[in-house]
Amino acid sequence: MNETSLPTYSVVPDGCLRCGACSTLAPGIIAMGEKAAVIVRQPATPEEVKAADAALFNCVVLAIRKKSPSL
Amino acid sequence: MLPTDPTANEKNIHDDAIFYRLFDEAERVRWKMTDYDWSSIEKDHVSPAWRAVAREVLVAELTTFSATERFFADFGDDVDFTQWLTVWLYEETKHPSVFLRWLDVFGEKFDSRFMLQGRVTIPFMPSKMGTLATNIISEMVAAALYTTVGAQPGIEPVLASICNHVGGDEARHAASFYSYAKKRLARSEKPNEEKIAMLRVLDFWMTPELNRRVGHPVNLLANSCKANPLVQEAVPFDAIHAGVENAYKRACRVFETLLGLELRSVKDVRLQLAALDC
Repeated sequence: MNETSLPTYSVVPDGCLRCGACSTLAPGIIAMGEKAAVIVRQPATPEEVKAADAALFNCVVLAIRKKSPSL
Repeated sequence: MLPTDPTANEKNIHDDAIFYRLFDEAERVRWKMTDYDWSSIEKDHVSPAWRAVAREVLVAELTTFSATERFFADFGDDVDFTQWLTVWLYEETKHPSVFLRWLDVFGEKFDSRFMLQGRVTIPFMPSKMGTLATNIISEMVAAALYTTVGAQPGIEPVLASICNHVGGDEARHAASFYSYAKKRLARSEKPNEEKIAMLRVLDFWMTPELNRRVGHPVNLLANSCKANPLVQEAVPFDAIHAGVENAYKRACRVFETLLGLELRSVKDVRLQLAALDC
């Protein structure tokens, strides 16, 4: 699968609790920064998209955003 | 010597176990009791409603001891999971302690008999995957409740900070239970049975008529907050209800990523259950 056909993710730092839930679910994709979670790199496989989605939906403050690939 | 659960077997515990990674994640974000400036609490400005909220939460958080007993009894053959449970136990034990500490500022005292109320052991369900599913959803709902409380206008600032820290712990615990459910599912010889067990839990929590029978302390907390008029002076019914409903919707999507099934609503949960049960 082409990487450009995969969604991309971002974090809204102001809302982040910095709880470590997202980095637990999507290691290598999301990590804990000094003040908030940060996207380390975008998912490159469908399996990594699943991990990033799990992080997005588990985020209690809805601080993770997902952008679908443009067709 | 305990029999070894094949789904939990590691060839090399250091390389295969996920405990080390989960431990590191928790260490990076851990809050401490000493983070709080207890002397900053202006107790004359805190209404009885906020103390009622803290008391409700305190009662719900007393059950860690008994839950841990059950976890060790049921998952004693899973080295990786029980290693992580020690972290879970430590972090969860801080939860009632921090609310006790906040209430102590107001002169509220609780004796050992009160603390022992939560140590009644209730057996888990027979399915280990069902137990993991229960803990994913209960931790997600707990996280939603705490962050809902923490976001209310007029909350005392130290209590707000406590709620956000504890809510964050619960969200991370949901993520950790998810990690073990994912591992167990990947190694299962009967994945459809595991999926059915997980979907049944989701159905029970999300269907109002069935939810009344869910005796999990988090579900009891959500329902008792919605029924307590004094609590609602601080945290309105609608806010609690919206937080819990949002947690259920998100839980569906979290389970979707875990099970590889489309789960957008309780209706989908029922449809997938029917399809798998055939």
